[in-house]
Amino acid sequence: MLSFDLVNFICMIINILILIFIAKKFLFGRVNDIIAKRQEEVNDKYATADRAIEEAQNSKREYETQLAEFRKESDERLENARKEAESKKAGILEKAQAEADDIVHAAQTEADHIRNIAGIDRDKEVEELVFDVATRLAGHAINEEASSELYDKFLSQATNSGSGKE
Amino acid sequence: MELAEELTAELEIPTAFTIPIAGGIAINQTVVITWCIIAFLFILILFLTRGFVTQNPGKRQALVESFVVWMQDLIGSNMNEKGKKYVPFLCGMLLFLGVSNIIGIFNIAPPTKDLRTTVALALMSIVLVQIAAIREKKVGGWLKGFAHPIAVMLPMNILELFIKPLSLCMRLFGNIFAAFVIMELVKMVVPVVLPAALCLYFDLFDGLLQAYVFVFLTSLYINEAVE
Repeated sequence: MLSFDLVNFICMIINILILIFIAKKFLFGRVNDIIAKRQEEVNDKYATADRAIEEAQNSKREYETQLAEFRKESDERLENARKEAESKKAGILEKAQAEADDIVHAAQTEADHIRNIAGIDRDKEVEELVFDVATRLAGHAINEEASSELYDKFLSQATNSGSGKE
Repeated sequence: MELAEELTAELEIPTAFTIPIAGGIAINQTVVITWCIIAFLFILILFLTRGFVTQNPGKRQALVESFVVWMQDLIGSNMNEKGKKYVPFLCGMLLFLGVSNIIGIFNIAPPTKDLRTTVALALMSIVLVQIAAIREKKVGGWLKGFAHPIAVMLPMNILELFIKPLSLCMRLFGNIFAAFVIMELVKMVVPVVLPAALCLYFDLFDGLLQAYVFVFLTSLYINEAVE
């Protein structure tokens, strides 16, 4: 019942070793390999995702740096343009002021000249009139009525010549 | 008397065939059953593990992976880092023991009912423990380990070298042998209904439990040896 022979005992050891080898190689080995491969793939995907995130962050930083540079450059250009415009504006205003001053000055000169000319003519007319009146008064006997008539004529001419010049 | 004779006959391990070499080498039934178990498991493993993929595994693959991971955790959780490399070997042993112990359900004599099988398993187990100790501590450290913790313990430790595999072997053999005897007695007394119910305990529960106990103790011995 409890017999023991060496041949069958060795056969059993070989059988068990074969079965353990089969289980280790074809079951546990295969499954562990596939799990390890899957883990590797997952790790690769994580690494790829991490790299993508890092690249995206680098791109964002680069973009922000460029944006800051562009803003700075834009501000500088805007400031320069403003300064240039201010300068041009001041120049134009100065020039315009000078031209306006010249025009005004010229106009005043012209006006003075015209005024002078007008004044001279009136004086001459008055002078001629006075001379005429004086001549008549001196050359002819003048009655009171004739004298009054001459006097009115003189005032009328003098008034007309004054208003016409002005 | 008739019952005793019948039981004795059931417990005999008959010769399956004889190899006509050197006056005839008798190969017994247990060895042949073990070959059948190996062939069955090999075909089953090949079928279950074919076409494995890393992405979108099917139900079959998911089931096999879960089973393997569960089994490795079951054994590996008892072991320290140094002992983890022996987990696949122990899992293979557990697979063999599990199938061998529960094969009685199909009215086939379990190989573990044969003393040769349990002795072979115990011997392999203790050789594995000693190999693990020698690999970890080298020969000098392994030999010094027999005088641990004090030199007076040397005879006890040497005795332990034989006691451990003997206890492993006898525990497994005794349980499976006893279960077989009880089942045969029950079948003789009450041939229907009751054997089916008891079969669940003696063949399934006790079979798997004894397989786990054997591998669990081996893993503990390996742990002790590599520490």
